[in-house]
Amino acid sequence: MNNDILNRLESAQTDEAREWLVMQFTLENLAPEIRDAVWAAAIPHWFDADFLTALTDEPLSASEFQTLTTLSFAEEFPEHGFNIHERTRNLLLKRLWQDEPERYRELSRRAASYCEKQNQDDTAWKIETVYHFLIADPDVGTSLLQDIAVEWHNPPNFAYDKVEALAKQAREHADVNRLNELGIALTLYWEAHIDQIYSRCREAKAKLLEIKLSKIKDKLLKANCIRALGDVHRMLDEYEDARARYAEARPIYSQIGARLGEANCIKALGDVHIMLSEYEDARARYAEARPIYSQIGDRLGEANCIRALGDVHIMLSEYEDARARYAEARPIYSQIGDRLGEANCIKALGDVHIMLSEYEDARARYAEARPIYSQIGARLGEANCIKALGDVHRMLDEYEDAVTQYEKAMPTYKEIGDRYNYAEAFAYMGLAFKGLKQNEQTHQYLQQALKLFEEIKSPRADVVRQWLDELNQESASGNDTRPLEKRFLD
Amino acid sequence: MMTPLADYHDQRNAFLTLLEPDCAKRILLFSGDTGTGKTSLIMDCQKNVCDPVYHIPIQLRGTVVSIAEIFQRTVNSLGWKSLPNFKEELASFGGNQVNIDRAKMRGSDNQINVVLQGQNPVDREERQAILTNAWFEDIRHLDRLLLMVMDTYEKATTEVKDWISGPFLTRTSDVEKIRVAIAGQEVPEANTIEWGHCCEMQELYGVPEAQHWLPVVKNLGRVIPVEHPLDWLAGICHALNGHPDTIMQIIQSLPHQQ
Repeated sequence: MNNDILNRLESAQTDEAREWLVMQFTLENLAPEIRDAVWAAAIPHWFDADFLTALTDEPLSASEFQTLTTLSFAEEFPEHGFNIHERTRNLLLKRLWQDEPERYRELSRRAASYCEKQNQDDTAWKIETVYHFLIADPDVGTSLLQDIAVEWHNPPNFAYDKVEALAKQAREHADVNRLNELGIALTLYWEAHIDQIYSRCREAKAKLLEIKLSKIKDKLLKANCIRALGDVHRMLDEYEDARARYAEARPIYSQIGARLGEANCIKALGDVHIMLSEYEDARARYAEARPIYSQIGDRLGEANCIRALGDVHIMLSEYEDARARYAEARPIYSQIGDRLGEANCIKALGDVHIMLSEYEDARARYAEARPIYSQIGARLGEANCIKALGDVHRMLDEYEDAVTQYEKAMPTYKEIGDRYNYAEAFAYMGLAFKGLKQNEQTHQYLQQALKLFEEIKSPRADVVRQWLDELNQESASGNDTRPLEKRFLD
Repeated sequence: MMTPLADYHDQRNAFLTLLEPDCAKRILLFSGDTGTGKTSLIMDCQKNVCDPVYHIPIQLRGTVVSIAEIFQRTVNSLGWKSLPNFKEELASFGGNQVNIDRAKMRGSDNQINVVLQGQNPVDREERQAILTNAWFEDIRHLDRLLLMVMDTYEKATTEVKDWISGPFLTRTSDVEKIRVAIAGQEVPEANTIEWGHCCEMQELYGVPEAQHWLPVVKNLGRVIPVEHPLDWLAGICHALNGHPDTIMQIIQSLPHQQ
């Protein structure tokens, strides 16, 4: 026996062949009941005695179960029971799918049936149920995959970790061609979506491009895939490609009466126009999307459109119109309970006041937005308000108060890892110290700001560098004591 | 099953060093391909952990182990009394409206999950940062060492990986009372100025030497019924590239000692 296995191993050509020889050898040396149980136990990601009983034709006795769980490739899985080690499991599943696909499906049916009777509020059971249905009944499986992913992804859940875990399990099947075309498309779509959320844009793009759109009969999914590709192009600054994708998705949404999708596409086209500085076109798109959101009762979409119109007005220096749009969007955010949107609008109104040199009004708006940010725990928004209040003080030559505000904002930026705003706070501290004629402090803070902007490769580094140059020139010549920023703006 | 471990003496010693009070490298990473024995190693190492160390093992595979879940396990182990700052910060978020199935809310046990499932992903990230800071502040004042052992890192979600490899390990490098061991086919990238200096990396390549497997054969009460057992075992180890998983399968199929 022993020399035979060694000879066979030495004759095998690949590692996989050798591993399969070892597996076969192991299985051959097991009692038939245990051997059958090993195949069954490989189907789920974990098992206990009850789960295994649901899969096998005959339940194992207690001692047989113990024998199974003491095999070298069976591991304890805390809070779940046991599992077959990943490497062995993959080997077994590959063989089973290749040699006995019907048996695989039957075991998956039993597993699906068992899992769906377990607590579906438990994420692990829910995902495991989908995993088995994708094989047992692909139509049900893909439907569950889509519905559950949407539910977890959408507000108020934002449970991206669960969506990621679900997609990972589907990916296991996809990698070894156990899914139908729809299953593969959904897996890629949701993986790409997660990649996008975590700013892995190139990976997202690659996955979306892998989806065989021509094989997708579900038009909504098709449109969603194309639009998602548009979103990724936009994140990668590939604006013309983004535009093309949105333009491609839009009529599909329209054809199937998916008005929300259509409105989202039109708004996204507006966002592309903004990025390309095509402000009038952006305005036209937002104005086109807005009534659709309104008609379908999507108040958030409507508020976002109105706020985007405000942003267009800002870009075109139409400050009164911007003010009107933000003032219009604000109550909508308030009515739908989107406190973050509401706070953002109030702060944007403050920013408009700053543009119009209405500093006291700006101060009032920032002071109004700040507690809202605080109440909802939006510390970034709160810090931004505090920094903006510092800006108001600085514009009014209240330099000591400006320093106080910037000092309050900085720890939050540092704590939450917002390096851009942290750097900007240093820069504005420098400007405030300039106003206080404390040159040493000015240099110190501007130098620190420059270092931070350089670390994040921000173009603002050039601005700060220029300020430092001007300071140095000023020290050398003794000329011009106007505030740096105002001189720079001149 | 708890299989006897072959070799990996360097790795086992590295784990023992981690438990020393003045250990400078508070982060230990075990990296290796599937089947190289990481989980067996980790389980063997954990046998050496005894009082007065707080010991929290976390298996990252299979279920969705979230950051909230990781915090919850520390609360279960250490108790709220040991985490006053963390508790206070958690309570400060308690007034926020979060739309979840109210039937699942059972006192403070689910509060961490409730707070970290903010209405807005930006909120959630900020809250994670605040709670992480508060938690480490509490760990700094613990009365004994805290050891966290995380297995199957590659199965963690992106959110958890980003948190572990970022804020969690960065603060670990700053707090003397904590030790962290992480095992996986993939582990956090140690080439970072934030915590790389505080990290020991151990790679697992398998156990190709037959003499390391002989004690395992004996321990399992098996016998190699050939004239030159060591040579035969060496042939097996060579054919299987020292892969612990598959070598163990062969050993378990050997006849029992009479």
